[in-house]
Amino acid sequence: MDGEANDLDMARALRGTAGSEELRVYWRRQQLIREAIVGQRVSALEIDVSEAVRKTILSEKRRYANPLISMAVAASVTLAVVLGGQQALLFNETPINSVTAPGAIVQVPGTGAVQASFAESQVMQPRTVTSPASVTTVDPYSNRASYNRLADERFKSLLQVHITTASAVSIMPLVSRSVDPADSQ
Amino acid sequence: MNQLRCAFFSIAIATAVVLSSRANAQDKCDVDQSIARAIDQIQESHQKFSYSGTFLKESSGARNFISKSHVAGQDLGQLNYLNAPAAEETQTFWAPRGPAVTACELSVFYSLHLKLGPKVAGRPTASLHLRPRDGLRLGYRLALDDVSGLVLKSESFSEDGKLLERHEYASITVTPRDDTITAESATSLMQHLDIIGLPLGYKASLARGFEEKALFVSDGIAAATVVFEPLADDLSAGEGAVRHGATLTYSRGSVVSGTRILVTVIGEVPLAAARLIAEAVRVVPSR
Repeated sequence: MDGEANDLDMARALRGTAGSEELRVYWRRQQLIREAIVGQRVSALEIDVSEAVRKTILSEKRRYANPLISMAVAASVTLAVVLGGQQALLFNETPINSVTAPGAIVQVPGTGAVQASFAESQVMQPRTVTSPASVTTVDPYSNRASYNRLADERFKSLLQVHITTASAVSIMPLVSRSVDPADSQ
Repeated sequence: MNQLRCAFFSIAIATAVVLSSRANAQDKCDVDQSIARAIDQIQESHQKFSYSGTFLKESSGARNFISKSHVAGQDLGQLNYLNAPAAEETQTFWAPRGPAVTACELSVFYSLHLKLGPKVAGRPTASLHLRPRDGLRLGYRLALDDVSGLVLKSESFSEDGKLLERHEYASITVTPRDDTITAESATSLMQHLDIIGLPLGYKASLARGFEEKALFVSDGIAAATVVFEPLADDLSAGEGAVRHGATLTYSRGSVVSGTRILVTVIGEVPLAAARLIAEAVRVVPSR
């Protein structure tokens, strides 16, 4: 009547009324009184919902009657999460970029979720990335230093040509272009 | 017959309208008249004024004091490195004689600003800023002599705003030429080449004396010389560059249709422009 009874109390009370017509009538009367006190619209007397409520509670209890089933479901979910995280790490071929800022916390690859075990804890070592054997990496500008030297030589040998002839294609709005004696030697 | 006459008359009118509109487009742009006059004055100054003076050149960490003299209307002038290690370091220089460039043409590629300039070599100047509208040319800040239009101070800036080179007169004497000059039309000397892929605004041409191995590329201000030569056998394809002051030298070796060729671009241009120029001239130019 005051809403304090839990499911077990409710089931016990309904089980009691099942075997006694007198108790059931009493129960219904008390319910009507409760409804009148709290101001609810009073239910029609001919409708008896107690039996339906009792059956519903019994069926709910039967569904979760075995605690082993509940534990199995929880364990399965946990296992799926742990193994899923492990597999995601295994398939990731790209090493995680570590933070190198001084004083910062370094994110080491493999320090994410690991499978629980009683063995000694191990930190996964960073994976070595191996490129496919068929791919050969050739830097097309590996000889850049040679070309820089070559460009420097051309600067010395061609500057006079450029200065002399550029006046024909540009208004050259500079005080003057000239060859530094240090460059011409 | 009347119809034919009407058609001819209509074509003539349409042609006249098109030509006049193009002329107006050339003459009328957003550039201030004072800037247009300053650009013209720069180009006429070597024809109308003789001068002699000493300037300081700062480039690549080096400083040189150079005396310079030029006689109005002449093509060649004299430069003398005053503090050179050698006993005598005299060079000749060519007075600017390139094709005439209008302020309207320059304003397509440069943002032009003119304001009161500093006093240079004791002479009042106007300060002309040429800020490139893209990353394919350098920027300039020039101090122009109020009387002659000669450039008394120049600063060249890289595409990221760094000062690359500076010239500044410490003293100069300017003398106007008395007689009227009839300058040779430099434009008639130019033979532009049709090269696809050059940076916007740059035109290529052959120059007298170097037709066999060199091209010259310019937008009217920025200028670069492009030289072709065989690529040495011991050098694979690649590229390299050095910058001395405002002058960049960019070399690229490549194999085009089985021919090993080395292209060198030397000039006052950013690296991006040099790369584009070298890429464009890899194909044999067609006139």
